[in-house]
Amino acid sequence: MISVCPQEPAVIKFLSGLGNIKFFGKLYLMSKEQIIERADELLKLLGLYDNRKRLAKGYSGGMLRQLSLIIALINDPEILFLDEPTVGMDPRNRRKVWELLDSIKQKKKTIILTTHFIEEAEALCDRVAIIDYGKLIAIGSPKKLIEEHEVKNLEEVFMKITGRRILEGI
Amino acid sequence: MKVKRILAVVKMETIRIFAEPLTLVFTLLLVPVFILIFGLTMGSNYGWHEDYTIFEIMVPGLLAYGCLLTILDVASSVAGGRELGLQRRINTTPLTSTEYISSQIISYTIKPLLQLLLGLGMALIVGYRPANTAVGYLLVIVFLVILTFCCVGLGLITATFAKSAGGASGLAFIFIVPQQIFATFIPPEFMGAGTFKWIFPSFYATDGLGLIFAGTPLTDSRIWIRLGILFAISIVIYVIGIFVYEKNKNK
Repeated sequence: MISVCPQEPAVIKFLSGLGNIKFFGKLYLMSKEQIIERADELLKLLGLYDNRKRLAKGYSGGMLRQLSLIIALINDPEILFLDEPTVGMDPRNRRKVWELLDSIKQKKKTIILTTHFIEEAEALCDRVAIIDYGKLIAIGSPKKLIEEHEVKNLEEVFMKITGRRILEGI
Repeated sequence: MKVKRILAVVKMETIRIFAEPLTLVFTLLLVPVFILIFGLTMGSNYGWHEDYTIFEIMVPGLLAYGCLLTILDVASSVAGGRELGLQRRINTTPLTSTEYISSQIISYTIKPLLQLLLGLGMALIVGYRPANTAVGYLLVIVFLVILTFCCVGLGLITATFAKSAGGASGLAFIFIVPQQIFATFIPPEFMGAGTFKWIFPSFYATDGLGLIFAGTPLTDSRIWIRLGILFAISIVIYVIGIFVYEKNKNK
Protein backbone atom coordinates (compact mmCIF):
# COMPACT_ATOMS: atom_id res chain seq x y z
CA MET A 1 0.00 0.00 0.00
CA ILE A 2 1.33 3.42 -0.95
CA SER A 3 0.67 6.88 0.42
CA VAL A 4 1.51 10.41 -0.68
CA CYS A 5 2.16 13.62 1.22
CA PRO A 6 2.00 16.30 -1.48
CA GLN A 7 3.99 19.54 -1.47
CA GLU A 8 0.90 21.64 -0.74
CA PRO A 9 -0.78 20.74 2.56
CA ALA A 10 -3.76 19.03 0.93
CA VAL A 11 -6.15 18.89 3.85
CA ILE A 12 -9.86 19.60 4.16
CA LYS A 13 -10.02 23.02 5.81
CA PHE A 14 -13.58 22.79 7.10
CA LEU A 15 -12.88 19.58 9.01
CA SER A 16 -10.95 19.35 12.26
CA GLY A 17 -7.50 17.80 12.30
CA LEU A 18 -8.98 14.58 13.67
CA GLY A 19 -11.86 14.83 11.19
CA ASN A 20 -9.37 14.86 8.32
CA ILE A 21 -7.55 11.82 9.68
CA LYS A 22 -10.82 9.93 10.21
CA PHE A 23 -11.99 10.77 6.67
CA PHE A 24 -8.87 9.39 5.01
CA GLY A 25 -8.77 6.42 7.39
CA LYS A 26 -12.29 5.48 6.30
CA LEU A 27 -11.26 5.67 2.64
CA TYR A 28 -8.72 2.95 3.51
CA LEU A 29 -11.57 1.00 5.15
CA MET A 30 -9.90 1.13 8.56
CA SER A 31 -12.11 0.49 11.58
CA LYS A 32 -12.99 3.37 13.92
CA GLU A 33 -10.79 1.86 16.66
CA GLN A 34 -7.84 1.44 14.30
CA ILE A 35 -8.16 5.04 13.11
CA ILE A 36 -8.36 6.48 16.63
CA GLU A 37 -5.47 4.39 17.90
CA ARG A 38 -3.22 5.29 14.98
CA ALA A 39 -4.34 8.96 14.95
CA ASP A 40 -3.66 9.40 18.68
CA GLU A 41 -0.21 7.89 18.29
CA LEU A 42 0.73 10.14 15.35
CA LEU A 43 -0.90 13.28 16.78
CA LYS A 44 1.02 12.84 20.03
CA LEU A 45 4.27 12.14 18.21
CA LEU A 46 4.02 15.33 16.18
CA GLY A 47 2.58 17.45 18.99
CA LEU A 48 -0.78 18.11 17.35
CA TYR A 49 -2.85 16.15 19.85
CA ASP A 50 -4.12 19.19 21.77
CA ASN A 51 -5.24 20.83 18.54
CA ARG A 52 -6.86 17.75 17.04
CA LYS A 53 -10.41 19.05 17.47
CA ARG A 54 -9.72 22.50 16.02
CA LEU A 55 -10.77 23.19 12.44
CA ALA A 56 -7.87 22.82 10.03
CA LYS A 57 -8.54 26.28 8.62
CA GLY A 58 -7.25 27.70 11.92
CA TYR A 59 -3.95 25.80 11.71
CA SER A 60 -0.64 27.48 10.96
CA GLY A 61 1.32 26.50 7.84
CA GLY A 62 3.57 24.20 9.85
CA MET A 63 0.62 22.52 11.58
CA LEU A 64 -1.07 21.93 8.24
CA ARG A 65 2.05 20.21 6.96
CA GLN A 66 2.19 18.04 10.07
CA LEU A 67 -1.46 17.13 9.63
CA SER A 68 -0.82 16.36 5.97
CA LEU A 69 1.97 14.02 7.00
CA ILE A 70 -0.23 12.29 9.58
CA ILE A 71 -2.89 11.74 6.90
CA ALA A 72 -0.25 10.17 4.67
CA LEU A 73 0.76 7.83 7.48
CA ILE A 74 -2.67 6.83 8.73
CA ASN A 75 -2.81 3.63 6.66
CA ASP A 76 0.71 2.60 7.71
CA PRO A 77 1.89 2.45 4.08
CA GLU A 78 4.65 0.21 2.79
CA ILE A 79 5.83 2.92 0.39
CA LEU A 80 5.57 6.59 1.31
CA PHE A 81 6.11 9.51 -1.08
CA LEU A 82 6.93 12.78 0.68
CA ASP A 83 7.24 16.01 -1.26
CA GLU A 84 9.11 18.56 0.87
CA PRO A 85 7.32 17.52 4.08
CA THR A 86 9.15 19.92 6.42
CA VAL A 87 8.92 23.18 4.47
CA GLY A 88 7.60 25.95 6.71
CA MET A 89 8.23 24.03 9.95
CA ASP A 90 10.27 25.40 12.80
CA PRO A 91 13.46 23.48 13.71
CA ARG A 92 11.82 21.72 16.66
CA ASN A 93 8.93 20.37 14.60
CA ARG A 94 11.30 19.48 11.78
CA ARG A 95 13.27 17.35 14.24
CA LYS A 96 10.06 15.63 15.35
CA VAL A 97 9.27 14.77 11.72
CA TRP A 98 12.79 13.47 11.21
CA GLU A 99 12.45 11.23 14.25
CA LEU A 100 9.13 9.95 12.98
CA LEU A 101 10.52 9.23 9.51
CA ASP A 102 13.52 7.53 11.04
CA SER A 103 11.24 5.26 13.08
CA ILE A 104 9.33 4.37 9.91
CA LYS A 105 12.61 3.57 8.20
CA GLN A 106 13.55 1.26 11.05
CA LYS A 107 10.41 -0.74 10.27
CA LYS A 108 11.91 -1.43 6.80
CA LYS A 109 9.38 0.72 4.98
CA THR A 110 10.33 2.62 1.86
CA ILE A 111 10.27 6.42 1.89
CA ILE A 112 10.84 8.47 -1.23
CA LEU A 113 11.55 11.99 -0.04
CA THR A 114 11.92 15.16 -2.10
CA THR A 115 13.67 17.96 -0.26
CA HIS A 116 15.66 21.15 -0.71
CA PHE A 117 17.21 20.72 2.73
CA ILE A 118 20.44 18.85 2.06
CA GLU A 119 20.98 18.21 5.79
CA GLU A 120 17.56 16.52 5.84
CA ALA A 121 18.58 14.22 3.02
CA GLU A 122 21.88 13.46 4.73
CA ALA A 123 20.23 12.73 8.06
CA LEU A 124 17.40 10.57 6.75
CA CYS A 125 18.28 8.95 3.45
CA ASP A 126 20.10 5.71 2.70
CA ARG A 127 20.31 6.71 -0.94
CA VAL A 128 20.32 10.21 -2.38
CA ALA A 129 19.70 11.38 -5.93
CA ILE A 130 20.71 14.95 -6.76
CA ILE A 131 18.69 16.49 -9.54
CA ASP A 132 19.83 19.75 -11.07
CA TYR A 133 17.68 21.54 -13.63
CA GLY A 134 15.72 18.33 -14.14
CA LYS A 135 18.84 16.25 -14.75
CA LEU A 136 20.07 13.47 -12.45
CA ILE A 137 23.67 14.40 -11.70
CA ALA A 138 24.57 12.15 -8.77
CA ILE A 139 23.19 9.11 -7.00
CA GLY A 140 24.39 6.98 -4.12
CA SER A 141 24.52 6.76 -0.35
CA PRO A 142 25.40 10.04 1.40
CA LYS A 143 28.60 8.45 2.72
CA LYS A 144 29.66 7.26 -0.74
CA LEU A 145 28.96 10.65 -2.33
CA ILE A 146 30.91 12.46 0.41
CA GLU A 147 33.88 10.11 -0.02
CA GLU A 148 33.80 10.30 -3.81
CA HIS A 149 33.88 14.08 -3.82
CA GLU A 150 36.29 14.30 -0.89
CA VAL A 151 34.22 16.81 1.07
CA LYS A 152 32.84 17.03 4.61
CA ASN A 153 29.13 16.72 4.07
CA LEU A 154 26.37 16.30 1.50
CA GLU A 155 25.81 20.03 1.18
CA GLU A 156 29.39 20.41 0.01
CA VAL A 157 28.82 17.59 -2.48
CA PHE A 158 25.84 19.48 -3.78
CA MET A 159 27.75 22.74 -3.99
CA LYS A 160 30.70 21.07 -5.65
CA ILE A 161 28.71 19.44 -8.40
CA THR A 162 26.20 22.23 -8.97
CA GLY A 163 28.33 25.19 -7.88
CA ARG A 164 29.85 25.71 -11.32
CA ARG A 165 26.47 26.80 -12.57
CA ILE A 166 26.13 29.29 -9.71
CA LEU A 167 29.63 30.68 -10.22
CA GLU A 168 29.14 30.95 -13.96
CA GLY A 169 25.73 32.47 -13.46
CA ILE A 170 24.00 29.81 -15.54
CA MET B 1 -18.05 -0.37 -4.54
CA LYS B 2 -17.70 0.05 -0.76
CA VAL B 3 -20.54 1.69 1.17
CA LYS B 4 -18.17 2.78 3.96
CA ARG B 5 -16.12 4.88 1.55
CA ILE B 6 -19.25 6.38 -0.03
CA LEU B 7 -20.62 7.30 3.40
CA ALA B 8 -17.30 8.88 4.40
CA VAL B 9 -17.42 11.19 1.37
CA VAL B 10 -21.15 11.88 1.89
CA LYS B 11 -20.45 12.92 5.49
CA MET B 12 -17.54 15.13 4.41
CA GLU B 13 -19.57 16.77 1.62
CA THR B 14 -22.55 17.30 3.94
CA ILE B 15 -20.29 19.03 6.47
CA ARG B 16 -18.97 21.16 3.60
CA ILE B 17 -22.50 22.17 2.62
CA PHE B 18 -23.29 23.22 6.17
CA ALA B 19 -19.83 24.69 6.88
CA GLU B 20 -20.57 27.86 4.97
CA PRO B 21 -23.73 29.22 6.62
CA LEU B 22 -24.02 32.26 4.34
CA THR B 23 -23.95 30.19 1.16
CA LEU B 24 -26.28 27.67 2.71
CA VAL B 25 -28.79 30.30 3.77
CA PHE B 26 -28.53 32.00 0.36
CA THR B 27 -29.11 28.81 -1.62
CA LEU B 28 -31.71 27.35 0.73
CA LEU B 29 -33.69 30.53 1.19
CA LEU B 30 -33.54 31.63 -2.44
CA VAL B 31 -36.46 29.44 -3.49
CA PRO B 32 -38.82 30.24 -0.57
CA VAL B 33 -37.97 33.95 -0.74
CA PHE B 34 -38.70 34.06 -4.49
CA ILE B 35 -41.99 32.26 -3.86
CA LEU B 36 -42.84 34.69 -1.09
CA ILE B 37 -42.06 37.76 -3.23
CA PHE B 38 -43.76 36.55 -6.42
CA GLY B 39 -46.66 35.11 -4.49
CA LEU B 40 -47.35 38.29 -2.57
CA THR B 41 -46.70 40.78 -5.36
CA MET B 42 -48.35 39.06 -8.28
CA GLY B 43 -51.19 37.56 -6.37
CA SER B 44 -53.06 34.72 -7.92
CA ASN B 45 -52.90 35.79 -11.56
CA TYR B 46 -49.86 35.63 -13.74
CA GLY B 47 -51.47 37.95 -16.24
CA TRP B 48 -51.36 36.02 -19.49
CA HIS B 49 -53.66 33.14 -18.89
CA GLU B 50 -56.88 33.19 -16.96
CA ASP B 51 -56.70 29.51 -16.03
CA TYR B 52 -53.29 29.64 -14.42
CA THR B 53 -52.12 31.35 -11.28
CA ILE B 54 -48.52 32.38 -10.75
CA PHE B 55 -48.01 29.31 -8.63
CA GLU B 56 -48.54 26.79 -11.44
CA ILE B 57 -45.38 27.96 -13.19
CA MET B 58 -43.43 29.46 -10.35
CA VAL B 59 -43.44 26.66 -7.78
CA PRO B 60 -42.32 23.78 -10.07
CA GLY B 61 -39.90 26.11 -11.86
CA LEU B 62 -38.27 27.38 -8.70
CA LEU B 63 -37.96 23.87 -7.27
CA ALA B 64 -36.18 22.81 -10.45
CA TYR B 65 -34.07 25.96 -10.29
CA GLY B 66 -32.98 24.98 -6.77
CA CYS B 67 -31.61 21.73 -8.23
CA LEU B 68 -29.71 23.66 -10.92
CA LEU B 69 -27.64 25.33 -8.20
CA THR B 70 -26.12 21.87 -7.62
CA ILE B 71 -24.11 22.45 -10.81
CA LEU B 72 -22.38 25.36 -9.08
CA ASP B 73 -21.82 23.41 -5.85
CA VAL B 74 -20.33 20.35 -7.53
CA ALA B 75 -18.20 22.33 -9.98
CA SER B 76 -16.68 24.54 -7.28
CA SER B 77 -16.18 21.58 -4.93
CA VAL B 78 -14.35 19.45 -7.53
CA ALA B 79 -12.32 22.33 -9.01
CA GLY B 80 -11.51 23.62 -5.51
CA GLY B 81 -10.36 20.16 -4.41
CA ARG B 82 -8.13 19.95 -7.46
CA GLU B 83 -6.75 23.44 -6.83
CA LEU B 84 -5.78 22.53 -3.25
CA GLY B 85 -4.18 19.24 -4.27
CA LEU B 86 -6.89 17.40 -2.36
CA GLN B 87 -8.13 15.62 -5.46
CA ARG B 88 -4.66 14.27 -6.17
CA ARG B 89 -4.39 13.03 -2.60
CA ILE B 90 -7.82 11.37 -2.75
CA ASN B 91 -6.75 9.72 -6.02
CA THR B 92 -3.98 7.88 -4.16
CA THR B 93 -6.55 6.24 -1.87
CA PRO B 94 -8.61 3.22 -2.92
CA LEU B 95 -11.67 5.45 -3.52
CA THR B 96 -12.96 4.77 -7.05
CA SER B 97 -14.51 7.36 -9.38
CA THR B 98 -17.87 5.59 -9.21
CA GLU B 99 -17.81 5.69 -5.41
CA TYR B 100 -16.80 9.35 -5.46
CA ILE B 101 -19.50 10.42 -7.92
CA SER B 102 -22.18 8.30 -6.22
CA SER B 103 -21.37 10.03 -2.95
CA GLN B 104 -21.61 13.43 -4.66
CA ILE B 105 -25.10 12.57 -5.90
CA ILE B 106 -26.24 11.49 -2.44
CA SER B 107 -24.76 14.57 -0.73
CA TYR B 108 -26.11 17.06 -3.22
CA THR B 109 -29.62 15.60 -3.13
CA ILE B 110 -29.99 16.80 0.45
CA LYS B 111 -30.15 20.47 -0.50
CA PRO B 112 -32.86 20.21 -3.21
CA LEU B 113 -34.99 18.14 -0.84
CA LEU B 114 -34.66 20.82 1.83
CA GLN B 115 -35.52 23.39 -0.82
CA LEU B 116 -38.60 21.35 -1.72
CA LEU B 117 -39.68 21.35 1.90
CA LEU B 118 -39.06 25.06 2.45
CA GLY B 119 -40.27 26.16 -0.99
CA LEU B 120 -43.48 24.19 -0.89
CA GLY B 121 -44.06 25.20 2.72
CA MET B 122 -43.75 28.86 1.77
CA ALA B 123 -46.01 28.38 -1.26
CA LEU B 124 -48.69 26.86 0.95
CA ILE B 125 -48.37 29.78 3.37
CA VAL B 126 -48.84 32.37 0.62
CA GLY B 127 -51.86 30.62 -0.82
CA TYR B 128 -50.80 27.85 -3.20
CA ARG B 129 -53.05 24.81 -3.09
CA PRO B 130 -51.62 22.06 -5.31
CA ALA B 131 -54.02 19.28 -6.28
CA ASN B 132 -51.51 16.66 -5.27
CA THR B 133 -51.56 13.31 -3.52
CA ALA B 134 -49.03 11.61 -1.25
CA VAL B 135 -47.87 9.43 -4.15
CA GLY B 136 -47.65 12.57 -6.24
CA TYR B 137 -45.24 14.07 -3.72
CA LEU B 138 -43.11 10.94 -3.95
CA LEU B 139 -43.00 11.39 -7.70
CA VAL B 140 -42.03 15.06 -7.18
CA ILE B 141 -39.08 13.84 -5.11
CA VAL B 142 -38.15 11.35 -7.87
CA PHE B 143 -38.16 14.16 -10.45
CA LEU B 144 -35.96 16.37 -8.26
CA VAL B 145 -33.53 13.55 -7.44
CA ILE B 146 -33.10 12.71 -11.13
CA LEU B 147 -32.59 16.38 -12.02
CA THR B 148 -29.99 16.63 -9.25
CA PHE B 149 -28.31 13.51 -10.66
CA CYS B 150 -28.16 15.28 -14.02
CA CYS B 151 -26.81 18.47 -12.40
CA VAL B 152 -24.01 16.53 -10.67
CA GLY B 153 -22.94 15.37 -14.15
CA LEU B 154 -23.10 18.94 -15.45
CA GLY B 155 -21.09 20.10 -12.43
CA LEU B 156 -18.38 17.53 -13.17
CA ILE B 157 -18.27 18.65 -16.80
CA THR B 158 -18.01 22.29 -15.68
CA ALA B 159 -15.16 21.47 -13.28
CA THR B 160 -13.17 20.05 -16.20
CA PHE B 161 -12.83 23.45 -17.77
CA ALA B 162 -12.19 25.41 -14.57
CA LYS B 163 -8.81 25.88 -12.94
CA SER B 164 -10.12 27.12 -9.60
CA ALA B 165 -13.23 27.01 -7.43
CA GLY B 166 -13.96 30.64 -8.33
CA GLY B 167 -13.59 29.94 -12.03
CA ALA B 168 -15.88 26.94 -11.73
CA SER B 169 -18.56 29.03 -10.01
CA GLY B 170 -18.52 31.45 -12.93
CA LEU B 171 -18.50 28.74 -15.58
CA ALA B 172 -21.38 26.91 -13.91
CA PHE B 173 -23.70 29.71 -14.99
CA ILE B 174 -23.20 28.64 -18.61
CA PHE B 175 -25.36 25.64 -17.73
CA ILE B 176 -27.53 27.35 -15.12
CA VAL B 177 -28.65 30.57 -16.80
CA PRO B 178 -30.08 29.18 -20.09
CA GLN B 179 -32.02 26.55 -18.16
CA GLN B 180 -33.15 29.14 -15.66
CA ILE B 181 -34.39 31.43 -18.42
CA PHE B 182 -35.88 28.93 -20.85
CA ALA B 183 -36.93 26.04 -18.68
CA THR B 184 -37.70 26.85 -15.06
CA PHE B 185 -39.79 29.57 -13.44
CA ILE B 186 -39.91 31.99 -16.36
CA PRO B 187 -42.39 30.59 -18.90
CA PRO B 188 -40.50 30.33 -22.23
CA GLU B 189 -43.66 31.27 -24.10
CA PHE B 190 -43.50 34.55 -22.20
CA MET B 191 -40.38 35.42 -24.21
CA GLY B 192 -41.43 33.70 -27.42
CA ALA B 193 -38.75 31.08 -26.84
CA GLY B 194 -40.88 27.99 -26.36
CA THR B 195 -38.96 26.02 -28.98
CA PHE B 196 -35.75 26.06 -26.95
CA LYS B 197 -37.23 24.58 -23.82
CA TRP B 198 -37.20 21.00 -25.18
CA ILE B 199 -33.40 20.79 -25.14
CA PHE B 200 -33.04 21.55 -21.44
CA PRO B 201 -33.32 18.80 -18.79
CA SER B 202 -34.85 21.21 -16.30
CA PHE B 203 -37.84 21.67 -18.62
CA TYR B 204 -38.85 18.03 -18.22
CA ALA B 205 -38.65 18.34 -14.44
CA THR B 206 -40.49 21.67 -14.34
CA ASP B 207 -43.22 20.48 -16.67
CA GLY B 208 -43.53 17.12 -14.91
CA LEU B 209 -43.86 18.82 -11.52
CA GLY B 210 -46.37 21.25 -13.01
CA LEU B 211 -48.53 18.38 -14.23
CA ILE B 212 -48.38 16.63 -10.85
CA PHE B 213 -49.19 19.80 -8.89
CA ALA B 214 -52.09 20.51 -11.27
CA GLY B 215 -53.68 17.25 -10.21
CA THR B 216 -53.05 15.35 -13.46
CA PRO B 217 -53.69 11.64 -12.79
CA LEU B 218 -50.40 9.92 -12.10
CA THR B 219 -51.20 7.39 -14.79
CA ASP B 220 -51.08 10.14 -17.41
CA SER B 221 -48.40 9.27 -19.95
CA ARG B 222 -47.20 12.90 -20.20
CA ILE B 223 -45.77 12.68 -16.67
CA TRP B 224 -43.97 9.41 -17.37
CA ILE B 225 -42.68 10.53 -20.75
CA ARG B 226 -41.15 13.61 -19.11
CA LEU B 227 -39.66 11.47 -16.35
CA GLY B 228 -38.28 9.02 -18.93
CA ILE B 229 -36.72 11.74 -21.08
CA LEU B 230 -35.24 13.45 -18.01
CA PHE B 231 -33.80 10.12 -16.88
CA ALA B 232 -32.33 9.37 -20.32
CA ILE B 233 -30.73 12.83 -20.60
CA SER B 234 -29.39 12.49 -17.05
CA ILE B 235 -27.78 9.13 -17.81
CA VAL B 236 -26.05 10.57 -20.89
CA ILE B 237 -24.82 13.63 -18.97
CA TYR B 238 -23.76 11.48 -16.01
CA VAL B 239 -21.72 9.17 -18.26
CA ILE B 240 -20.06 12.17 -19.92
CA GLY B 241 -19.46 13.63 -16.43
CA ILE B 242 -17.73 10.44 -15.22
CA PHE B 243 -15.70 10.27 -18.44
CA VAL B 244 -14.37 13.83 -18.17
CA TYR B 245 -13.85 13.48 -14.43
CA GLU B 246 -11.76 10.32 -14.98
CA LYS B 247 -9.78 12.03 -17.71
CA ASN B 248 -9.02 15.13 -15.68
CA LYS B 249 -8.81 13.92 -12.11
CA ASN B 250 -5.01 13.75 -12.13
CA LYS B 251 -4.49 17.20 -13.64
